[in-house]
Amino acid sequence: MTEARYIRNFSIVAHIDHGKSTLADRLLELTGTVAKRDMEAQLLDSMDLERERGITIKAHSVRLLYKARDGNEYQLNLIDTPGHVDFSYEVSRSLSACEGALLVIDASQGVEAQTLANAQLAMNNNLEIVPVINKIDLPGADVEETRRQIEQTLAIDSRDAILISAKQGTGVDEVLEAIVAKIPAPTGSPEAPLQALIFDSWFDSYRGVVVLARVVQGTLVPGMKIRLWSNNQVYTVEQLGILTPTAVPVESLHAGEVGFVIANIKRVADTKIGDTITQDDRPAAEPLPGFEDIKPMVFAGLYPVETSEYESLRDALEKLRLNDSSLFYEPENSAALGFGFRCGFLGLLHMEIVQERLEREFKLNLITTAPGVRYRVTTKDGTVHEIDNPTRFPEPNEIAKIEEPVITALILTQDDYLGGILALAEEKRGIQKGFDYVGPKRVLLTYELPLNEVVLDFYDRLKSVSRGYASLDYHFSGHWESNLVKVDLLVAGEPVDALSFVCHRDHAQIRARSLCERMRKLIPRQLFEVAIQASVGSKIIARENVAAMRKNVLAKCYGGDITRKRKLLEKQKEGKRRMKRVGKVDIPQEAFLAVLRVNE
Amino acid sequence: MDSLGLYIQVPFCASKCSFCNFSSRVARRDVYDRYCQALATELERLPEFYRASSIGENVLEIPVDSAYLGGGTPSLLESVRLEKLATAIQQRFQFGSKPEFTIEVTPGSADESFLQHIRRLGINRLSIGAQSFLDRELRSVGRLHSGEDTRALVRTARAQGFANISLDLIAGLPHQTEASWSESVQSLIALRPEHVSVYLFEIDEKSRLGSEVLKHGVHYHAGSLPDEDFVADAYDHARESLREAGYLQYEISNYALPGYESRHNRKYWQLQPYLGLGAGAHSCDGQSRWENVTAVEEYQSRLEHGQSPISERHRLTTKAQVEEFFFLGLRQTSGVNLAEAVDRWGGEHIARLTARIDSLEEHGWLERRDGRLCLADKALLLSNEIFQEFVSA
Repeated sequence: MTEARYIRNFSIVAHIDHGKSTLADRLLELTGTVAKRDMEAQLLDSMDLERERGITIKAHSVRLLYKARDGNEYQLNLIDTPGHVDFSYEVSRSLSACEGALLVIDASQGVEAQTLANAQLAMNNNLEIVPVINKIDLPGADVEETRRQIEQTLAIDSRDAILISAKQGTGVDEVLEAIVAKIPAPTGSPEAPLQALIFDSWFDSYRGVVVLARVVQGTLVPGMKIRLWSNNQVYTVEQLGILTPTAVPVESLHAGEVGFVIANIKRVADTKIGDTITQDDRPAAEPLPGFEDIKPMVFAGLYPVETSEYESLRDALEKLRLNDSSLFYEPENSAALGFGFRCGFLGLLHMEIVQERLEREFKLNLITTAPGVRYRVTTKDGTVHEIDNPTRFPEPNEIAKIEEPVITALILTQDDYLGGILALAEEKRGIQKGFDYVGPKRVLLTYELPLNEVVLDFYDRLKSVSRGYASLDYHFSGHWESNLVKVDLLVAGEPVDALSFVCHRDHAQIRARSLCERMRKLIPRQLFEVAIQASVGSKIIARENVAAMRKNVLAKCYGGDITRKRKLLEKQKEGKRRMKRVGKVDIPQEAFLAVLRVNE
Repeated sequence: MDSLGLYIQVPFCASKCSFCNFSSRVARRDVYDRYCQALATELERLPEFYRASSIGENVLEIPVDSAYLGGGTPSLLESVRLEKLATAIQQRFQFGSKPEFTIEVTPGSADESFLQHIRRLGINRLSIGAQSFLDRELRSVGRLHSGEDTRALVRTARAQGFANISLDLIAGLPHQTEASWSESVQSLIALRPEHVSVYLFEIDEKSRLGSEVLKHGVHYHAGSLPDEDFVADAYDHARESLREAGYLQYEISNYALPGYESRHNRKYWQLQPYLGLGAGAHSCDGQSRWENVTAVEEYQSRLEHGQSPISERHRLTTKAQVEEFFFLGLRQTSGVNLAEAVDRWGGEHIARLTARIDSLEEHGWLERRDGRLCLADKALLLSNEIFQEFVSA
């Protein structure tokens, strides 16, 4: 058993691409945890997608043994955190399993929005923050400016910031020494009633659910009956272990240690991140603080392009959910798109990842409807409805009020781009909460923004108005009442459910017009004129026409090649059969795809 | 069985037009000899090839009332080769008393002596690919001739005694305008051809221009292509002008002065037997359809090795025959005779379609004229939409 004073639990936090994973790799290498020849670049990002996108999606942990300059051997538990705003709850839980965090900042980029958001999360969890200035070997590196930003933006003493180049290995040994010297040792007593924090879990087809936990106090041993605080389920510990990063079984996990627990748990959904594990017959007096039931924030319909793939889509979602309890789905039926699922995600990235995994790992071809949020609609009879699907909105005259989810966004930018960003935030109905110069040319903007505007295209637009220089981080901060309307799209008088959307009344007409125009270009001419209309309730707010078809004829005869004529007729007929029929209008599936994909 | 049509495919051109979605290619002249030799071999050995493909040889005994040299540009073969070819055909088949013998001619590719020569071979009908009378439009699609070349060809042909001339126009070519189309139609009418075909440019991936349009490119003047509405208006305009000038429309894209409807063309629409010779040529004996290999090289090499050039043959089921009866027969303004179909295939095959026919009549797409079922005027340009109702997919 390692004494608590020789244990350090820490995370690495950084803005995307500031070098978090590279530093983690160097630490593993330098402590001999992984031999250099076995290093696959960025070892901790184990999913293909994570490696490709350079983002950590799941949390991980790995135990390093480090012989410090004081002559003692230390057990360092590196708890890696998800690297995206969608997963900020998980980040905060992972951080609460640590006593300290390395805050990595790219010397050529300086402090970015995610640096700030992560630093705030770490401070809220009372972590000791060790600033690490990375990429000092780059020609554009400006160490002094980065120090200044650390002081001014983050209010962290930067005098002891460690200067490194994780890529070249420069300064990494100093990082290890700083972990030992600056980050406090854990304090809980191994004899106290058990409190262990779940900060990650996954499903293993042989072992069932594997839980990653930090023992805060008490001791876990195999055979112990444990209870999960949030649902009162009791399990028997079958195996304990640590990741080095390969799994190594251990006989116990004591207060201060980090490791995995296998206890015949069947469903990942039962092991909620942030939950407390205690001993069934000697429970702790209270759970660890900070637990929340995480709720999906972004919603979209997922439909198979081929109706025959519905079953496969359901199986695939079921499999993904085995390892991703934050993924929510339920069957949904659209007149235009057929059978599919309404899915809930933590955010846009989470949605993209799920979509991509379904397409890549399960070889499914999908149509995704426009992402939306969950509204709180109060009808005149006083009932409150939580509605995440526009088609379920009550009629306008039944609605007393609509509240929409709101986020607090942190935007860090060079002041050159302020004009465009302020205009964008205004257009997106943002309310400015803060405007602070954190350097001679650097501004930190704080905004409250409706989430539905953010999921639409806010991030892409922000990137384009700032030429990629503004960084964004946000967290959910409540609801506000808003003048929202549901807009329906009608083709030849029939509503196309998949294209209904909710937006602010002031934006309804402009968006409705643009949608009608795009649909006009995508609906093939039919034998009759087709009206494309957008309506709010019974009021038409935009209209386009698809003129009747004038010509579909084969004139030439090709030296008696009748087979060619027949094939063309058959192909056209087959093409119609594959279209989605709305009322009496045939709409090609590609039209839905194009409308749903195109960003205005 | 009454009479047989012959089609001889000459898949060569002096240059390839951008709108062309046929199988044709530009070749050196020495290739022509080899190809003509292959044609001669095919003609000679037809009976054994038919036996091998289980095609009734009796079709070879039906008297020919129409022969058609198409392409490509058959006039490229020049008089000597054409003479050999015509002789071989006339030896192989039994010709009726007044056969229609057509050759497709590109303006600028046929001079006086050529016309004189082929006239002596029994060729009595010219099908001239005028396409447009505006030089700018002709140039933009890669035609090598001018509007004046077309006029000159017609004058020379008349002088040589050709009394049955057909001219083609294409609506929907790049740079066409309402005014230029009208000019082309008027120029054509002024030449008083006995027969006129008005085609519409078809956008498909088989032509260079079509495939450029499909990928929204700008090569081949794809950016100057008129739209669907223009083409539809152009069609209506030509139809009206030709009617006023005394031409009768007898098929979706064909018009003739009374008595000059193309015998050859009608065979296609009326399920009459026709045999195709040459690379990629198509044949039908009423029971089966078959075709030769399309690649010139393979066609030649098969024949040089004593093999049959037939690449595909399929029997027409009764259902397929009935479907063809409608989607081909309805192309003619005279339409189809339902009683004839009942006689030929039995009532139940037609009864199956009654509900669909009734519904199309109800919507005004089909109508009865003199007891026959015909496409309504408004359905001519939308005929594929109507015909789809008659094919199973």
